Amino acid sequence: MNIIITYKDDTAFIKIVTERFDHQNAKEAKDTLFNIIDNGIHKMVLNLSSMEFMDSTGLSVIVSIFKRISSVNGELKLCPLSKQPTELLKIIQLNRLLTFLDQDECIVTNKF
Amino acid sequence: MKAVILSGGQGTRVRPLTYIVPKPMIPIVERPLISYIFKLLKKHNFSQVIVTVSYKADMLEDHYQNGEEQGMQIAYSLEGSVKNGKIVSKGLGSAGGLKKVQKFADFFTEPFLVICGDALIDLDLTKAMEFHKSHDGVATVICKEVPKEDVYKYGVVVTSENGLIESFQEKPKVEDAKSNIINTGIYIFDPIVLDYIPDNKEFDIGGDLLPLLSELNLPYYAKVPDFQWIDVGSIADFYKANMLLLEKKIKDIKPYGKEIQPNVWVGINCKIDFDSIEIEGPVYIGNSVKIEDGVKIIGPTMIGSGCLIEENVILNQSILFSYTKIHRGLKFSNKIITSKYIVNPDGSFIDVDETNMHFLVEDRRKCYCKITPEEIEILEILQSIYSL
Repeated sequence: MNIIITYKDDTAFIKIVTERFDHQNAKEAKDTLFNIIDNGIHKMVLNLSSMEFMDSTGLSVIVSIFKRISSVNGELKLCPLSKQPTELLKIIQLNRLLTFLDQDECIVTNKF
Repeated sequence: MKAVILSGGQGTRVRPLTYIVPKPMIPIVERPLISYIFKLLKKHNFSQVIVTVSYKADMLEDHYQNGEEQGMQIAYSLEGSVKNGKIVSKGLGSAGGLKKVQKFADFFTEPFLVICGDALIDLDLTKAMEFHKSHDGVATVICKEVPKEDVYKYGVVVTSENGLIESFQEKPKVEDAKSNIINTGIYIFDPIVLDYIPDNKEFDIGGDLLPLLSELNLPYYAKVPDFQWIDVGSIADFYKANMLLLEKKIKDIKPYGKEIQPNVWVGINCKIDFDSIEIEGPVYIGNSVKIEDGVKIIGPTMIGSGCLIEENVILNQSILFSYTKIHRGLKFSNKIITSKYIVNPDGSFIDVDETNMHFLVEDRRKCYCKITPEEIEILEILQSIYSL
């Protein structure tokens, strides 16, 4: 897993590059993301588009970050996900809670 | 009379359910699909039936055995072989399967019926057999009239005025279709046609055998009776068939069990306080089901035997396979749920084992007692979504 973080203004753009997002790497990702929030960055764009597979531990990272950012009135946006993670979020309706950027917006953010 | 049920397919379009059971055994309101076909065959005095099997053949054979309980004699013809204890399928095509049966012991000595194992039908088979015997053809193709806009999904049949089949069009464009009469995959054959099927070769009835008969100038006829034909070829079809059956829209078939109030069927040994739950029929509840207080069930919904629905769950137009446990407070709409998969009617699904989502649904017989703080966090957030 590779985590690439760039900052622009008050927003952190975070790209987590891994094929599988599960118990092997979820904790590391969560700690990194929480650190960013604790350092006062409350706006986040998460690019998880490289993930082909996400399990419940990966899902719980997204949920924790969403809750943490909501609690400080911040803003979390996600780049489009690949098929399986999208299905996972959709089937439990979690997609209704999250804000997704479209592909074009995401490409722009990735340039930072 | 003799019949063959063609059930050798892999059922790829009905995945992931066919990862659990072979396609002919997919449950339509708790009865395997093929049971409905056996019942129809029995009603029309078919007493000797051969089922061509392949994928998960053991499950089917263990269930129906020699056919005594179905009131007929049932034999099986495996399309494949057993290697290292596992069945390795070798598809022969629908016609190749018939040839294999005939080569073994000359089973077919009189006109016989060929029917697919994946449709719910109420066809008058007696009349169909009589029709076959009344004409000079070597085969009868049972056809159905469909709306013109649907022809692209099927093999279209072109006939002369007296029903003689002149040609076929395989899945034509709507504008190219020469008729709206389609082949249902139900046939009656004279044994003579088997002579024209090559040995040990993949050979299809619709694609190879019938065109060959035409080429050889052997006449065969279409019969277009008015009957119900519900194909269960895909997950969407499977979902729809269950819904239709619950809505009593399938002729002669009703859910099994006691109808405790209009459109609510409940099996035996259930633990449900009907004053503490809300039910909008049609709803089928199997045997030994436990439903906790505060649950809301909106029909058509079918809950398989042995399920556990924990408190405050909402189920809307969904199908639960047997022994599924649903964690408290969850809400599912338009889903097919097993202890291993959560499936949408369009066929997309998540694998509960692989994604480790047992805190949502689980096999009731397993004890999944420990829920992690992370999982509690997900469950809490789901609750907040439901109240949006």
